[in-house]
Amino acid sequence: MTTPNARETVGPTRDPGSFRDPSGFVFRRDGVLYRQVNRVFADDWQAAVDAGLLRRWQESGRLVRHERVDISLAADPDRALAVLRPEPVDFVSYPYEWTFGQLKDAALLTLDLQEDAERAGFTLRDASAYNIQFHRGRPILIDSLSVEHLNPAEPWAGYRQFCQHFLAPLALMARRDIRCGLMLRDHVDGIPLDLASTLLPARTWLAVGLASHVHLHARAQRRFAHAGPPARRAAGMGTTRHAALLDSLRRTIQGLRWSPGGTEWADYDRQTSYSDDGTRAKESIVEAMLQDAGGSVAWDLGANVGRLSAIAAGLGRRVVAWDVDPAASERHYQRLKAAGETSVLPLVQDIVNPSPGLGWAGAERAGFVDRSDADVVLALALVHHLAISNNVPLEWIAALFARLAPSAIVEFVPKDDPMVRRLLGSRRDVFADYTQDGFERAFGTRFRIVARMPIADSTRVLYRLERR
Amino acid sequence: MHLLAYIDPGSGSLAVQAVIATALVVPFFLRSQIRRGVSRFRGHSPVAPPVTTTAPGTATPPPDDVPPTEP
Repeated sequence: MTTPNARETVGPTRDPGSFRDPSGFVFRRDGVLYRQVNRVFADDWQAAVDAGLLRRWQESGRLVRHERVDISLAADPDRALAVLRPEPVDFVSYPYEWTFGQLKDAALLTLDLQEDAERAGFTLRDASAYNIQFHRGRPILIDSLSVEHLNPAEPWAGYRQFCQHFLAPLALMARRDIRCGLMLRDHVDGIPLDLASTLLPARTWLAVGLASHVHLHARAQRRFAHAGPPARRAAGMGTTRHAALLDSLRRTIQGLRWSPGGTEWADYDRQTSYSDDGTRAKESIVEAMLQDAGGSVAWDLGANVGRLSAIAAGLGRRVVAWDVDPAASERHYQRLKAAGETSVLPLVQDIVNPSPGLGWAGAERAGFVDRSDADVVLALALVHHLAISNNVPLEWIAALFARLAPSAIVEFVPKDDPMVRRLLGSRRDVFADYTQDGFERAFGTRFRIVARMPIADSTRVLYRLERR
Repeated sequence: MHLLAYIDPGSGSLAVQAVIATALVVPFFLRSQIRRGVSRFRGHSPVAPPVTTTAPGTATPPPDDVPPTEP
């Protein structure tokens, strides 16, 4: 296999996460995203094109829109059959950053597509959660090369992957602990089913779907670990069995529910220390600062349920709304989904321990900082949690924000604020530099202070900052 | 069995898939019949699967490219 760095020396840059599938790959040329279709995939590709399957998926918003462009743009002309130019998705996120509802919606989309493909005589060649992205508020398949001819007698090749990428994490999140979703960070090909089977409560053996697709599936994997492929008779499927399998997977996924609540930040928006006047004052200052900052993309760090993300969205910004709390992010996602709001993408992220580069060479899935496309970072009621709860020096916080965006809107919450007093209530105050002067000194090394606005009915201050 | 996927489908996953699917066929069939009966009783025709395509490779080739819209 050629490494991504070697590819970079020949002009077009191959996407470091696009190397597993021999039928094609994603690359960039002059900053534009393309997908090469290789000749080895010609029969399946042409059949899917002729059948109109991909066109129908694009028109219904389930597959990323793409157009065929001149083959001279191919990154590997000797193997190229065609070159596609897909519409770039809003923001590339990963399953370990999705809320429960997002992962569930992505799973149901995958099953929709597989059912639809089977009815048209095709099948999904894989069922990777990484083939799904959230674009304009909804999940969408981004891999245009995902279908091939279906042989109804053969099992679905993507079954194992579907169970590991979707079913196992959703079951663990719903039936064990919502934080199990983060296990996807450690397992690039989904959560191993034997591990999921071990961690799930014993009562899940009584649920037909989980007993079949997780527990028995895990035992079969163990039993056949060193065996060759099963005999055709043993593994024979047929159209009805395919339909029954997909129906069961769908019912199992739909039956997994998680009600957001009970986490540290789930009710934060109802427990703030602001008065109504203070809240209104803060919102109007943030709106004015956002207007002044300009740009088209805002990252809201510590977004909670997205009250202030909505202000940025109202000003026409595309917003990525990060929060450490899976319940707050889930509530945010469900509210946006119900409202049909498409310009805000809520994601789960611990700023203190953000998503690193993962997969092959640590480059297959880009890290949190490397994906920043923000023009402005919002850090409202966040810095005191980073500085006091997590002992991160203010200079380091400023350095991170400066890496993320050229502009920042940051709230400083002083030690006499009730929320900070609560943080210091059970520990020694070792934060001598945590003062307004200390904040301005620390952030002044990275940013120029454009505006400094006290918030009414509080001792808090909002800063608009421009990177030096 | 000549399933040659580019990902590893897993021998155990292939084997258990057929076994599970076989066990699911009867309840799946019964549920489908009940749904059909309920639809008929309510005076609705059963929901047909979306019309898709003819056999692969035999349809009139429509253009498959849908140009990206402006973001």
